[in-house]
Amino acid sequence: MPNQAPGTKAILAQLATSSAHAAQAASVAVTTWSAMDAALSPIIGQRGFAALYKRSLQLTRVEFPCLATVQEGVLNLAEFSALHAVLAQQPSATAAAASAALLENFYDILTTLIGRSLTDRLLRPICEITSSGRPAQDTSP
Amino acid sequence: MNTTGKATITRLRTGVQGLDEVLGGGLPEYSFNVIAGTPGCGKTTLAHQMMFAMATPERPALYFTVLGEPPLKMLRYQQQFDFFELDKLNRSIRFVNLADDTATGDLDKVLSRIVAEVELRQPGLVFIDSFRSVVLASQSQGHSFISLQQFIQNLGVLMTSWQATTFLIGEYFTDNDPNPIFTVADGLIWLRQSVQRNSVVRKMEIMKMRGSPTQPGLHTFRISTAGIHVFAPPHLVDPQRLAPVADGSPRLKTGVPELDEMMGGGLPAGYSLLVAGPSGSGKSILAMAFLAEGARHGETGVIAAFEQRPNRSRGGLMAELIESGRVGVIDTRAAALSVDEIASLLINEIHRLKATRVVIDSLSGFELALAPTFREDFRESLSRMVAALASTGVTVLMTSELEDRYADLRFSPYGTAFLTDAIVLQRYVEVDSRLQRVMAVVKVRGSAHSNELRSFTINDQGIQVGGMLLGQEGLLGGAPSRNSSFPAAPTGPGHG
Repeated sequence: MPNQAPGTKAILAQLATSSAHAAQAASVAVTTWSAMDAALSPIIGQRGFAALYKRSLQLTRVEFPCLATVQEGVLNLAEFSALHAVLAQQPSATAAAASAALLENFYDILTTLIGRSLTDRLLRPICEITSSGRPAQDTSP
Repeated sequence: MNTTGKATITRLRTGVQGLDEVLGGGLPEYSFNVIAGTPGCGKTTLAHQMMFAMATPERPALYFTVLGEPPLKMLRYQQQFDFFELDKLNRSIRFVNLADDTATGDLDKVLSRIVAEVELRQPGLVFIDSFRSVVLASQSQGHSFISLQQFIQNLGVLMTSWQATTFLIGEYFTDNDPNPIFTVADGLIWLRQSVQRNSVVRKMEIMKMRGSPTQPGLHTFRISTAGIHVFAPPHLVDPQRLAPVADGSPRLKTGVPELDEMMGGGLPAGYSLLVAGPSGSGKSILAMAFLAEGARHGETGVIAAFEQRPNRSRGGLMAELIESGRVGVIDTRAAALSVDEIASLLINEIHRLKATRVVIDSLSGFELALAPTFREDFRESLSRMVAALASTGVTVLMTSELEDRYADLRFSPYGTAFLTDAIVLQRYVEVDSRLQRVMAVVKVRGSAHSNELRSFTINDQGIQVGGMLLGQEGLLGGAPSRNSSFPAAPTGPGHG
């Protein structure tokens, strides 16, 4: 289909890489992950979500070893302060890239398990927040 | 309009093929139901299929997942079914995971969480899957039986007053389990997998459904990508329909003019005809001729072929009839069939094609295709099926393999002869060191018919009926002898 809206995965990556500073990237990451937690945990359970989060960290730490400490800290509940702390300490480009890679890996795992359509549908609230939030930023002087 | 002031019970269409019939017209709204059965028997699939069919934005559904099957797995597998409409998700259908609340074993907490979600979403449909996890969690925490009973009672009361049709999905291992849930529930749908020898058959029983004239008994069902299909026992479509009589009914041509003559002008419409004969005697050819003759007169037909692939066996003509939709074919290849399943498929196809002719070829193959668990009841089930087919007004031709036993004259190994209105018998006889085929009309209820034993041959044009084998006697013994008082006579077309 021409002029197709960007996919959920692209939106997530865009979100992660949109910040200029590592601290900002870390905050955006926490906001995004919290929103995903809120969207998915009621359906798949907090433990289910935490397990997916941990698996994403496991896959992403190969490329970004800095995430190793975050992964080790995840227990039964997903909690993002460790992620914030680690990302904020990275060079801004690394923070953005690691954050994007983490989100993309998470999206891929979920897609493998429950298919793209269902994943997109469940994550739609996050994309809607993003797309409605964007124009406001663009029009600022 | 309700003029008596009695409560009106709306019945919801479940979206599961055949289930509404078994339930006696659909699922009563606001009922409190239990779907029980052993692991793998299709409980979650049944629940999902009903939910996707019944949920609308006005009647949204809440699906609570408790421990047991992880929700991710459930979503992964359930979305493979055709009924899983993504569009309904989060619009009409919402999944809620209760695992964290259940893990504590505190039923009060579980109940208050359910209440909170129900108050928030105001669902018309509530599913709790699996309920056994709730029970086990409460037991492991040392809660007493009473507290579970109270929990269920509270839940039942709550859901009814919230006007929600509720389903508890659970594994229960024995029917006699004195589970309080069975007392509270309005409906109890039990799914089973019956194993006999190598065959496994899925069966459903409606053990209880308050206020509904459900169909008693075990009903077989299948699960395909389309979901669950329940095969309700065939019912009389039009019980008022009088049994057809030979005098008043128009006669159908069989495609073999001489046979029509022998039957007194054709087969009376609405009759069932049994064609019995040994292997290779031409029963299937007669059955195909019967369908082809119908098609020539603009009628449609349905065939359930258990012996040969119907589009292969009689070559071009049959394949063409099937291709053009003038003959519908029932898929009989599935393993472990039941008579009800075939009856249900036949009747659906009869309605779809507005068919007037039905062929079952053959009863012997039919019996072999049945799951062992159904073979004992074959005669009873067949009798119900023939009655149900007759009530649709179709004319039925069934073939039956007959062992060549020359010591006795039999028409069917099943004692099915009494089921049918007419019988045509085919036999082999030895004449002049050749196997010849002979055919006789044994019975046409309420009609005069020929008593001749006629020879026949089969060629490219089908069945060619010749004359009687005059001069021979003892034909049914298989080895006739020449009656010396008769001069040698020609024995029919194609002879020699």
